[in-house]
Amino acid sequence: MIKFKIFFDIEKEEQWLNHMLSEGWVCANVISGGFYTFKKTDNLERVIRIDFQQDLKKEERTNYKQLYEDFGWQSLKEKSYDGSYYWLKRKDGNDELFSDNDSQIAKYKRLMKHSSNWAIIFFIWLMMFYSNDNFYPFNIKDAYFTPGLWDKEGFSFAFSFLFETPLAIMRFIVPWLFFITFSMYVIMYFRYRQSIQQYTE
Amino acid sequence: MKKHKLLPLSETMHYILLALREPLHGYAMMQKIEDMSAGSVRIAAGTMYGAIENLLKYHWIVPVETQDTRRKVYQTTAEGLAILAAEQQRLQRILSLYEGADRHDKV
Repeated sequence: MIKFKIFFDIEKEEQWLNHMLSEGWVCANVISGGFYTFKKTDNLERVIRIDFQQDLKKEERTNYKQLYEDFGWQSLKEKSYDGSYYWLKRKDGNDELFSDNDSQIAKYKRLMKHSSNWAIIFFIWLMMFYSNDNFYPFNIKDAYFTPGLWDKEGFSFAFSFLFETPLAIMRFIVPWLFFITFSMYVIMYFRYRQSIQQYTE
Repeated sequence: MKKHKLLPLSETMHYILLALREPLHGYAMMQKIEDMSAGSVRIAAGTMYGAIENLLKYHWIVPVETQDTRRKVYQTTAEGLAILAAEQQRLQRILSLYEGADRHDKV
């Protein structure tokens, strides 16, 4: 079974995967872009945890994976392009990836830094493409700038349309990407604050 | 002097530096620490990985060459041992206070 779901919050994603597992669907593979494949299972005594590591080089990744596998975790994703790693393990009472607060806080810090980097990139991109009188994140037609494009017909239309489509998609998608990455940053910031508070109380 | 980011040593860091006075890989470290702490400290995978990265950064531990090509093995450096010695002094002073010694006494 393939499911599509977008998460802003990595903790919510983890909860959802464990909820699916409790209903007899174990995640078999995490495909990028919000797609997950699930397999039917009777073995419910398992747990899924999501880790985040930024920019692991090939050798570091091998080393990282070997260590987690030694601890009994099985990887659900062969390669990670965005730094997230999904781990599955039999429940045995030691079912967390982190055993002290410092390392739990450090995970949120890595996520915060990652999402803020992307938010800044998309913000700069946004500033480059946008002026005050054109705001087109809701209607992709508005993202086409060719004058009279929608009145053209036949070959003339097809040519102009195809020519501008990549640009229009870029214009259309950037505010959304900024919105998504910025929201992720805000959520991770609150998770980070929360984890520090737990630590000091 | 500015306080080092990892000082005073957390329980995790303390146990890892102590365990790595002999060369070990991550999982063996966790097992040894569980033993050393009489079962009270069980370091999880993510915490172990992060701690190793952190200690490597400050050169308190180093990777050592072994026959095991799959797993990296680490050992505490002279710098790491010096940190342990300083921590031992700090903790001994605290212990002596527990035992009722005057705070002006030499440890």
